[in-house]
Amino acid sequence: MDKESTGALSKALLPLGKMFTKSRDWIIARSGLERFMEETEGKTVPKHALNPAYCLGGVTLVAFLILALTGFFLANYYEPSEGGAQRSIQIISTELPFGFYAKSIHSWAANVMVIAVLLHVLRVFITGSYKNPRELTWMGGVILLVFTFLFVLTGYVLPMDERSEFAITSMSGAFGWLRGIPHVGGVFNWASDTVGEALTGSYWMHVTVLPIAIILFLLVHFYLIRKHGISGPL
Amino acid sequence: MEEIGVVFLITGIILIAAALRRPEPFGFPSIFFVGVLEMIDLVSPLFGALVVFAVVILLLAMPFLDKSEEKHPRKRLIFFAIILALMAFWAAFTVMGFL
Ligand code: HEM
Repeated sequence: MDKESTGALSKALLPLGKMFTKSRDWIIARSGLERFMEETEGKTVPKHALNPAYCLGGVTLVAFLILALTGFFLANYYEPSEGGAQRSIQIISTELPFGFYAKSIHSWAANVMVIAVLLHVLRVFITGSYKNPRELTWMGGVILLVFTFLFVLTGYVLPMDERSEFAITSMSGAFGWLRGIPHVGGVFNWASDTVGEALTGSYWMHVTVLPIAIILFLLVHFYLIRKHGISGPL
Repeated sequence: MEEIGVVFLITGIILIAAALRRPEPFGFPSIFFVGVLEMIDLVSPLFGALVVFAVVILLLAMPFLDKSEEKHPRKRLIFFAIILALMAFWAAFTVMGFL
């Protein structure tokens, strides 16, 4: 953009900018957020980290946010019962305005998230970024990876179509024995070989347990990244 | 910053363009699970589960195994070999799953 058009644009946006500054200052003055603002002030992304490989964590996060948004929308219309699941998904895909888009963006974003997170792990591995003092960032990350895969697995059960049956059979085969663990076995109901139980367990994991757990771990992840800064160049 | 913006923009465009065409990206079972499913099929369900647990534990332990100050891949060849072997193992089972 040349200088003149930038000038015109910023002039047009000036009232908006002022409004934004005013509301921001209003919030800062009343919330004690100043300390956080000071901490980030003047911090810039180092040159070596402007490489797209360093954006993969960000891409993962964007994909997750898209999933949260579309998932929140879909959860309003989905019915987690053996008889109702297929019917409700039929309604979402054919009758509900934008339902089809929400559903397909949800499954596409899921695939983008898995690919992005795997590449993110690869980047972190190649640059040796898990080394002192970032061990906890990495270990929390591994848990995030487990959560991501659990999201995908339990997500497959929800449509209650032939794919779900296949998912339930393989999951219960591999992980069903975890349900035998005293006291906490119920957490693994998604790996039950009874369809109804697997559906309830998967739904509970997919829309309640995993979202809360992943958000908590993401907050820790971002706190630690902030604390240590991005790792140095090779 | 521009680069970051571009990456995000591309993610967004790909997502939306893709979603308009096809509801499901890669069919089923998703390519990410074909390998594990093949292990379950070929060996046993317990084997599939144990491999998954072993990989998770190996990843968790990585910072404590690869303890040197060296960050450059060329100076951490053993750990590179381990990760490459893991990826090859996974790829092999995935390919077998499709055969
Ligand atoms: C839900 C998944 C995840 C999200 C949203 C996420 C997000 C991020 C972001 C935004 C960064 C900043 C730098 C960058 O983007 O490369 C980062 C750094 C990092 N992530 Fe993740 N991450 C996730 C999963 C993981 C996993 C699975 C691991 C490891 C197994 C991991 C380990 C790390 C480490 C060690 C850093 C610090 C890198 C450095 O300082 O160079 N993360 N993550």
